[in-house]
Amino acid sequence: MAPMLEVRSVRAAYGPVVALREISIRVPERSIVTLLGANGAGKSTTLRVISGLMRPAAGAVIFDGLPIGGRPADWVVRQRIAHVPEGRQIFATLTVEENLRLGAYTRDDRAGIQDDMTRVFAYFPRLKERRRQVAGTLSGGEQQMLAMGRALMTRPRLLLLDEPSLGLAPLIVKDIFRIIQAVNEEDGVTILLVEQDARVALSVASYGYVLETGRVAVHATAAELKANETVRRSYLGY
Amino acid sequence: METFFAQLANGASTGALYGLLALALVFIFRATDVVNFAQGEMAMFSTYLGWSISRPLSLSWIPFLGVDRHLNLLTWRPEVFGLPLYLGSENDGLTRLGYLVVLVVTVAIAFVMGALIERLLIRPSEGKNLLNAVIVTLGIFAFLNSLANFRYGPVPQTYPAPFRGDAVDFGLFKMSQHSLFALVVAAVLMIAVYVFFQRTKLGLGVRAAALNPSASQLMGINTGRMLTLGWALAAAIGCVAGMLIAPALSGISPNLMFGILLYGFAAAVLGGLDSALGAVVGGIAVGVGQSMVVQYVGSQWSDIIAFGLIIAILMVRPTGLFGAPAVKKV
Amino acid sequence: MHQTAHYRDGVERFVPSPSEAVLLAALVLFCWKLYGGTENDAVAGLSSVVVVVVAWVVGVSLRAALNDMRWWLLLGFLVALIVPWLGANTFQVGVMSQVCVFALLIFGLNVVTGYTGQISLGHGALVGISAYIIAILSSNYGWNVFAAMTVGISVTTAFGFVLGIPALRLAGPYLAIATLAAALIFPPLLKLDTFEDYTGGIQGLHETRLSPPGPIESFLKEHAPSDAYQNDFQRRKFAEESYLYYISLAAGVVGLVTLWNLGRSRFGRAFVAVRDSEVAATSMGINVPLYKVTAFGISALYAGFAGAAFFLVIAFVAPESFDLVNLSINPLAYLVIGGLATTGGPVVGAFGYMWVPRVINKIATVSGDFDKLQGAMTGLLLIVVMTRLPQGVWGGVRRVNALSWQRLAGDSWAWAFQRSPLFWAGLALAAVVVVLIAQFIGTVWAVFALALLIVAPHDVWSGAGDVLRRLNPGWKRNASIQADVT
Repeated sequence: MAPMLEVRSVRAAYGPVVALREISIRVPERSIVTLLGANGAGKSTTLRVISGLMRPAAGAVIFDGLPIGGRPADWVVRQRIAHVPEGRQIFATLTVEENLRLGAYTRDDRAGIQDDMTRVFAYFPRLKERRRQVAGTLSGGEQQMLAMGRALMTRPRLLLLDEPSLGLAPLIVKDIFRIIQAVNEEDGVTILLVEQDARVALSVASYGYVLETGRVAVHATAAELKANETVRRSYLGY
Repeated sequence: METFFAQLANGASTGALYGLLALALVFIFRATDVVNFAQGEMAMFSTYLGWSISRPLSLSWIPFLGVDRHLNLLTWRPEVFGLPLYLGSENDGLTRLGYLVVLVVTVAIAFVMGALIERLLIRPSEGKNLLNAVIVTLGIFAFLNSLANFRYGPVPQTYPAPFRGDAVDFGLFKMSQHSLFALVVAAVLMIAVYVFFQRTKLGLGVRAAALNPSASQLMGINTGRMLTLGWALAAAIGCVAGMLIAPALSGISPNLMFGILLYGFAAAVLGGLDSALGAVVGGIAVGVGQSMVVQYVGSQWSDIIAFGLIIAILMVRPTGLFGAPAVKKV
Repeated sequence: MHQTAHYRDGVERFVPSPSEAVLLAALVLFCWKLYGGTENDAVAGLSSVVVVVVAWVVGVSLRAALNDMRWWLLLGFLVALIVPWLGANTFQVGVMSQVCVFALLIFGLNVVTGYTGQISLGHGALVGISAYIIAILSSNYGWNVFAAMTVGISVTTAFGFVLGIPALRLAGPYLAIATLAAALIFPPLLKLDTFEDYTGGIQGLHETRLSPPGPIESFLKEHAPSDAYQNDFQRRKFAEESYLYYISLAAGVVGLVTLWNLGRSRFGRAFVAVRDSEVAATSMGINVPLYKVTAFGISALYAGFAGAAFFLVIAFVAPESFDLVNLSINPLAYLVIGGLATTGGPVVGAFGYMWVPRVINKIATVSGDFDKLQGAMTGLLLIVVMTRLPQGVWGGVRRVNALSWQRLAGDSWAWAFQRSPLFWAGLALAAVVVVLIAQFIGTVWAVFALALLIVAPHDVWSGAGDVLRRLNPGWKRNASIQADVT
């Protein structure tokens, strides 16, 4: 069966700096796939290429049989791919509710939006308490929740998550990964997860790719990656 | 006491005009973070466009109409089955329908002009340095000013006011119908701008695009289109301002707007560059303050006090009276 | 600072880089003018070719050394020294003096706006304060001009420091408007009846111009170019203008050297750090408010010097001399055009500030049609430079200099080949439209249409291409898009 998302030998560069040499990734529908690797391996760049924030220099990105590589980000969102970017990028001077409403910007079904809003508030009760608050005043964990909630408001089929655990307390990380799993299982959202913390990521993912300087170094099921001593030591660092 | 109220009314109506221009400035600032020096000239130029289409238009280029047909939109009296379609007429033949048609057409042209300016001139200069876009607006300022001088000449042209009846007597003071009209338009536009930004999805999109372009794209917002829309709407508001300012002063001339633009800046900053309410309130405050100073202190003090006050207020409230406090970005 | 070039081998060493080619062309022009007076054109042409070839061979052997910007500064300085002899009349010499005056002002703006990123639209007022203090002290109280200058510059600098303190509270556009307000208050203040005894009201203050000391005057008179300055009166005028020119040149050179050193010093780096991120600068131990205030103070010092030089050169101050557009907005615009936060940019800016309006005036008077369009031409220039060279002229020169001919040629060929036939068809259509406009509506409008086509960003073109492509799906965009259709 063809995977939901296929990244085929993609290359990309920031001006003269090559970030992706050759990346090929397959994400099956309804799975959680994780991209692991050190800083600068090209994990975030891969997500940026998929969501259209960055143009690939070569290669193809296929989503459900549709080539999406090189299309603008606002078009890609309409194909129901949501990206929670590095550093969360919430709209700091807008309220929590306005941030969420922006998530539903591409949609017009009032009832559906209302449903999703309730669902997001069910996942993240903290956001409901603070819906009138300006987003910049939220704590780091709450901002991460808001960024995820905002992405869920686009009602995605594929969710790209960039380091959801960054800078958060272990308890909150646990919370967030529980929700990631719930989103995947209950709502059937496919998830492509970029993480520094390999242990946590492999605990939820079914398949993993390890990136090294713009290439896929190793890929295997999560269980195999966890079991392989060499991979664990040289790439995952635990 | 009577002069006091007269000056108050007088100042408020000039101030409403400053406020309208300030509203356009606020619009662009919220959408693109650019302080638009060309706003006054854009308003002036579109007012000239309005003026030229309110001249008798030659229709001889339309086939099968006969050779010598002219249409004067301002005195146009279309009738359908003998029923007049125009609303009331003034003593010199102007019809409100005609005025409205001219206004709508001109505002539409201004809208397109604003969009084109953003797309062709502002967009390529945007990037790391905010000053580049500001310098481009200075370039547009010089360009439009000189083009108007070239096309229409330096002599002021009269432009009609839609309401020119007797001044309305409020007991304590009188106010001309045009001034009242300007105040009402300013208030309506202020509310419209507020509602647009705070209550509509599109307005939210415009705000988001200015705040964080890449995150907005991830929400499916076409950020480029938002910027274009911001400029286009600002140009339209500026056009309305121009068409109300021209009859209130001595008509339109190429250099009419720069002085008013400066007061518009003052008004916008006084109210806070991101607040629609602030722009209009700031405009009225500047207008009233100005006429009070002229009346009680002396006209040579008017600019000194007006702009001195701006500095003083900014010292106390660095983002204006109604502006949101600045959020430091890390 | 300077882009060190690609060192080439063998014959290729003798191929000039783009900017070197410009210099060579200038040299050819200069030789042509130099020999233009002789009757035998062939001899003139041959000798200029010899001069240029010799210069070039020497240049290639010294290329590594010549890539050091100091050589160019020295060369520029040498040319600046003979400016009075290059000009055709005293008016041009006077304009060159003003280039130096406004260079000082633009240097100051560069410190506060270029390096620390605080937009100031009020520097005209600072120049005015300095010039007025000097004028009042010297004409009303009979002070010695140089003593008056010391006081004027010191007061302006102190005022700049004081002005920097409230500026700390204001961000971006608010600071711009506050300084704009300051610039707007200044002229009406001078006109007030209360101060009229001191400031001379609307009339302003006149002062006799500084005349050169005896020996300098006689030297300059003696060596004035004889064809341009024939009688004694003209020669005296030449001596006077040249003397003032050298004084302002000296001030300008000192200003340039200090600016250059400032840009490379610890101070300069701290300023840039403050501009780029106040938080990061603070965490590196930089006292942000102190540096911001200091930047204002230093730039006021430059503005003070500019005011002093202004008074020396023009010897006349009036409220209208310090109007907003001329002394506050335009210098900033030309600074950005020259190139913010560079050393060469402000110099280019000062030249542009004085010469662009004059050149445009010259062009405009060629045809009556264009006379009223001077502002439009200036505006278009601002727009074109800002959209095509976002880093300013200086940044553009640097970028071009870093490219080799091959890269330039290769890029433009690649550019041409990447376009579809539709693009070229569209271009041809646009050309036809422009010609039609010229034919039926008027030359002026054709020029505007052309200008619009030039400034249109390329994505407008490709946007138009997208529309066509949708109508005709067979067309491919270009290599990078084709890749994902595989």
